[in-house]
Amino acid sequence: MKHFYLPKMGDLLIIRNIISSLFKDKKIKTLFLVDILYMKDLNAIYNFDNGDFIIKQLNEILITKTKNSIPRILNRKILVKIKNTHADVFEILLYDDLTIEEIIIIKNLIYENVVSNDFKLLDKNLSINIDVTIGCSKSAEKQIKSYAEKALHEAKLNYLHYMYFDSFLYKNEFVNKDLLDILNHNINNNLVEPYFQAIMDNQSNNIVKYEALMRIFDKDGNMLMPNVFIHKAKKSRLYQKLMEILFDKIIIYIEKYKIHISVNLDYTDILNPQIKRTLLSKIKTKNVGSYITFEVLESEKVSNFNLVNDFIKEARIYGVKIAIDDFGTGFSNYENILNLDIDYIKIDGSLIKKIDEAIYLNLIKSIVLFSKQQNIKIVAEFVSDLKTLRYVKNIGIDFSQGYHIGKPMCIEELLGVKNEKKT
Amino acid sequence: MKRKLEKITNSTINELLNNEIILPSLYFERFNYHAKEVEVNLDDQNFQKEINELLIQDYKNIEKYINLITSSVNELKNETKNASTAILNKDNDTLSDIYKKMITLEKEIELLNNELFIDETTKTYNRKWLYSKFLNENLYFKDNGICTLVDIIDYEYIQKEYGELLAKNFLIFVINFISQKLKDENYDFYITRYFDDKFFIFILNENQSSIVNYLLNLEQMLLNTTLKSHSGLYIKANYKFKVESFSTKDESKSVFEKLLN
Repeated sequence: MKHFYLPKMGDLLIIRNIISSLFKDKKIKTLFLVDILYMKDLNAIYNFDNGDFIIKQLNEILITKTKNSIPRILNRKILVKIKNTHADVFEILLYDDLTIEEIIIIKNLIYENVVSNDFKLLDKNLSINIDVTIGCSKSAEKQIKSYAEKALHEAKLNYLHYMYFDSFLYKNEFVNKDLLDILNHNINNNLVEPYFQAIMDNQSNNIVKYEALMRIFDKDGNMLMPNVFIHKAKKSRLYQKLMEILFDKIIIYIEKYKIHISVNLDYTDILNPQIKRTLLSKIKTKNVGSYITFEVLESEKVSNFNLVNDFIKEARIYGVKIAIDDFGTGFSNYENILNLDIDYIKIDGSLIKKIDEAIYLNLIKSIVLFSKQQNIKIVAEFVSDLKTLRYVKNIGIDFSQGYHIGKPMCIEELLGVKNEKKT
Repeated sequence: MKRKLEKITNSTINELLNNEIILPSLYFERFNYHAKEVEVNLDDQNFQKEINELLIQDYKNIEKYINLITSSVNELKNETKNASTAILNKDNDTLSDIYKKMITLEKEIELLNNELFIDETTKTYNRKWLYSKFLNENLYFKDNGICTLVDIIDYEYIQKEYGELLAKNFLIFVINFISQKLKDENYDFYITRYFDDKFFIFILNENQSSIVNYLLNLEQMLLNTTLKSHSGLYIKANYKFKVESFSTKDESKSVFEKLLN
């Protein structure tokens, strides 16, 4: 005879609690992380005791004022838990799936409660105001805190006081995860290739030089362009290896075909003693300096002009020419140019694209005038049609580069084109 | 309601696209089925009222186009008469006046075309343009080229979660991004909105392998793009590109089916 165990009332309650706690965990929650801005500064100016006192007051505001206001503002009962997770960071967890509009309302509530408050200091009749950064996310998953931390991090990076990170779209962060494999595949198999885009002398209409542009290939042989992989390569610290392979191939092609080539260099490449040493020693050994132009990206990062000039001086010994790339936008500065001993300025393509608009034409003319006075040659990028070429020639720009002159092409295509022209 | 109706229409068309023949009864049956899916009761009085309003609006639009076309045609007739008289009389002033009127007329007709064949959100071509302008009367391609399906996978989620306005702006950004990149490459291309979240890019008569390679890069560029707003939103969406070549021998239906399935 079989015996069946009948659960007692107490057992049923336990089972129900387990089920309900499991169920509860699967419900969507909304998490705000509140981080005091420049807490280290506050500690340094007013000492750690005052810093702790400010954190204590913030805790009080969040636990009383903010916590009580949330259900009232959202007009429904909501379980809200607030805790000081570490140092100056507070966690506000709402057991509810808030809409984007409601999240904004609660974010504003938290922010206004904090920034409008006068924070007292110990032993002083002085009060100060503080600012906070807020990161928010909502999810049913355990990783909700990682998502909110990602939002907080992005807000700080972008100098915003708030950012919301969508956990559903988080999957898309990994869509390109095989890019790292592709980068390694290219390094291990020496696949990195320079593609060459022609630069034309506007006086003679002859192609006098080519800009080498980095290309890599996926496992099916499809070519990938730099804006697809450069960021990832730099982030995963593989860029230097890619650059080395690219430069080796450029030197081989120069030795073989005696073509003049422009190579892009980032300011950080110049600062990196390893890259700098490798580049210069290869140029010296192979004696190819007179065929090479280094294009240095004009950037706010160029803070130490002495280091750049040291590099330029050393490169010049071997006959290398120097160009400043993408001039005219972002952090372009005429004074920066005066501090550098350069041969060429490449006007940024975004300006050349608008050369038919009076205001941009005037800006480009002023760059041309300045460069002529400094005895610096000018290259226009993004010359994509005959009209642009006519403008460029008319205002006295020395060289042109762009699709109207030629699209980037691999060495085989380039040689094919050259041979065709000869025959 | 218009959004819901569009959604039901798209789901219905998407489902029936493979059928050789689509009878009105079958269309209505599947329309009814998808209407229930998006919780629309076709017998509901409010729904009927809104449908009627939409029909009235649609009718008014058609009436507006017809009136405009009729008046343009009449104007054209008059101006042609005036032109022949002016030519006979060698009246240069009248001719130059007629020329100005012709330019205005041309602009009006262009405007009309835009209203009929352009998707109002993205300013790309709509399905009406695809079937009445881009394809021939037998729905075969008029040219050779490459057709790419751009599937904006997260569009529906963004629309639901962030609202219509943000979803619209997101879509405009994606389409402008693609258009600008293709313009930079000097491609001869057309973009058509086929469904809410699906677009076709037609690139004509180019080196096909280089286009396919470029489209692969374009897809990767979009996947790498994160949209950050000053109001604190951080959106990284997913997209899928699918490519098929087409020629004048191809029926559009078979090419679209390959891409959509």
